Amino acid sequence: MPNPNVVVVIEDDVDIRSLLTAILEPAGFVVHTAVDGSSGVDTVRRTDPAVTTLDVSMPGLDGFETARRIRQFSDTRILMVSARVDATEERLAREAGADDYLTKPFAFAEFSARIRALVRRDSAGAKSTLRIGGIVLDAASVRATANGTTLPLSSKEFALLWTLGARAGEPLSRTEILQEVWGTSQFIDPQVVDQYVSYLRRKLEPLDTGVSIVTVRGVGYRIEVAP
Amino acid sequence: MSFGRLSIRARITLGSIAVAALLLLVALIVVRAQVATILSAADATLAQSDLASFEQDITANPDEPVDDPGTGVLVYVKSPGGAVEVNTLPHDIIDVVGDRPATDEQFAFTDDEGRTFLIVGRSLDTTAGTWALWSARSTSSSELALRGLDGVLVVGGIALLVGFAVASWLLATAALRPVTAMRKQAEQLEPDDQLPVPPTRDELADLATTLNRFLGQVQAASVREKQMVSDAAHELRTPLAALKTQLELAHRDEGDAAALARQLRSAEASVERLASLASNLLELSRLESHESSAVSGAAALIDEFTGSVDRARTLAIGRTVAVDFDVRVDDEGARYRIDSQAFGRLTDNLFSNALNALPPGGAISAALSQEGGALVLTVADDGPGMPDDFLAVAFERFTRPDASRTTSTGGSGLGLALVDALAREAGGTAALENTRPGLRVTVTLPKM
Repeated sequence: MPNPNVVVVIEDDVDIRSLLTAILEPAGFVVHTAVDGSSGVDTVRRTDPAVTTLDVSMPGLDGFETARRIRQFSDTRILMVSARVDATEERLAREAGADDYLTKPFAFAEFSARIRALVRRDSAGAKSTLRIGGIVLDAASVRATANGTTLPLSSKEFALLWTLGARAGEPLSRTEILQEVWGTSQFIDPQVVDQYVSYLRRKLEPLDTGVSIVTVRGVGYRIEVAP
Repeated sequence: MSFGRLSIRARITLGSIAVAALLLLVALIVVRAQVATILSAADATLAQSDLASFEQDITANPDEPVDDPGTGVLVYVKSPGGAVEVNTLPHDIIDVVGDRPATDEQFAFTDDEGRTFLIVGRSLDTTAGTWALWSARSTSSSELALRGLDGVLVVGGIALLVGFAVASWLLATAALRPVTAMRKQAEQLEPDDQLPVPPTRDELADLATTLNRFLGQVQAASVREKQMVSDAAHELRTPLAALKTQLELAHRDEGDAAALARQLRSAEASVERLASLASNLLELSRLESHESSAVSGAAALIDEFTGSVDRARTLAIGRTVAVDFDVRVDDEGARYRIDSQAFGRLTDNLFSNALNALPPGGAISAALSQEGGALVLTVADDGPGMPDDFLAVAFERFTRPDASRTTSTGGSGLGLALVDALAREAGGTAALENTRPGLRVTVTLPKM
């Protein structure tokens, strides 16, 4: 079992390396960095991280080859980071063993959310569907149905509904929601939670699913499922 | 050095010489054979005529002795009784014909000294019995004549071949001169020039026309590229200048937390524009090189679409703009000729345009649906719409509704160009429509 709080950052650019560390450390991760592929492989072997972020284009071993070598001994979740927007490269990255692929430039929040999603995937693992009243959420396809018909949700709406629904009846603070859904509460306007709750409410109101999102004054939100 | 590595001129000349030599050889052999036949026939006729006078004499005056032959005439006449009446033949020949029975025949004979004779025989029947007559003619004069002819033919043939070689060299040179001239012109071409097309209507004119068409394409591509780079550089300068100023202001406001935060937010917006511009440029250049042959399923495009909605909502937080969406896709397995990330850029651009056009309190509603298998994306806003005369050129690169207000809307003028180019690449269409109020963009991608 890898160390759930450890992240290895393999990145040759010093600015990006210190930025990623600056995002990850306040979020509670222990960050180890490596400046190239081969020392990165050693670092992963030494620290057994939950997640490894890997730059695609590095001198010496490139990201693909590094990913292949890491895959030979480790189940660490690999997030490949590339400056190129390229479907072929993403396919190659996944073939080399990457679990996710992110293109530069990216927002802190986006990066942080991807890391959290990878850590979560590692720990939650088995649970792939969630039933809340008449709503069924399928984590694998990120698709929802309400009373058997398709309920179109964006991935953030889906994650918000999942987060609230997994602890139905329990109030969640905006900060908790931000951490879970957006990956960080640092670089993002908390209003976004209220905004998404209102989007979700508008979608759920016309449907007879028995699910409603209740505002808990001074705290945040909770889901209520009608009996 | 192989034949194929010689110059065209040398190859034409060598080829012509080979063909001419072959033809000449055949002609010489035929001529020589004909002359030899004629000469041999002439020798035979002469030998026969030598005998003819004796035949007449014997037939007309059977009781008189046979006449003497003229000088130089080689004759042998034997009476039916076996007496040799006339004999001027050399010994070698007498050895051959002396005891030979009388027949009508002719054959060649070479003596010990190497001289060749043509020997003609006659049998002549008279009342007294059968006479045997033989005459011989030396063929040395015919052989001399043939040898003389051989000499003439060989010398003449070689002279003809040399003449032919020179002529074909000159002809090939003349024929290839326009090619050489064209090559020299091509060497001196300026980047924007075209090759002069010769007034003749031959292969060379066709070649020049074809090359010019190719040059034209290359030049047009190069002009487009230059324009693109210069436009792009120009576009990058604006947000960069803004960013520079915002950061300078941020320094000035270091003591004022609220002002500093404001400057940083503006700086973030500038960076956002730069990032979007870079992405659009990359996507456009990739479309330009036609290297994308990506195919995406409807499911992946739905994910990109809703991902784009999330991004648009994040951008819209501070502006109180609502972004609603709907997805009505029954066949998630349908395939479309577009890269899923490119589709994400397409929707990002449409949302970004709508957000830029909207005042606070505005609303965007987007929908992704299937109509007869085709994927239809609509992004509608309730903003001011576009000037009608701009709708026609809105999909062109680096165009904006009002050229003087380049920074007020924040657009780079590339977004819609990319939307249109991506839709076309996927075999589909993009359309703009003023809905008064607002603008609706519809992108239709046909199912594969």
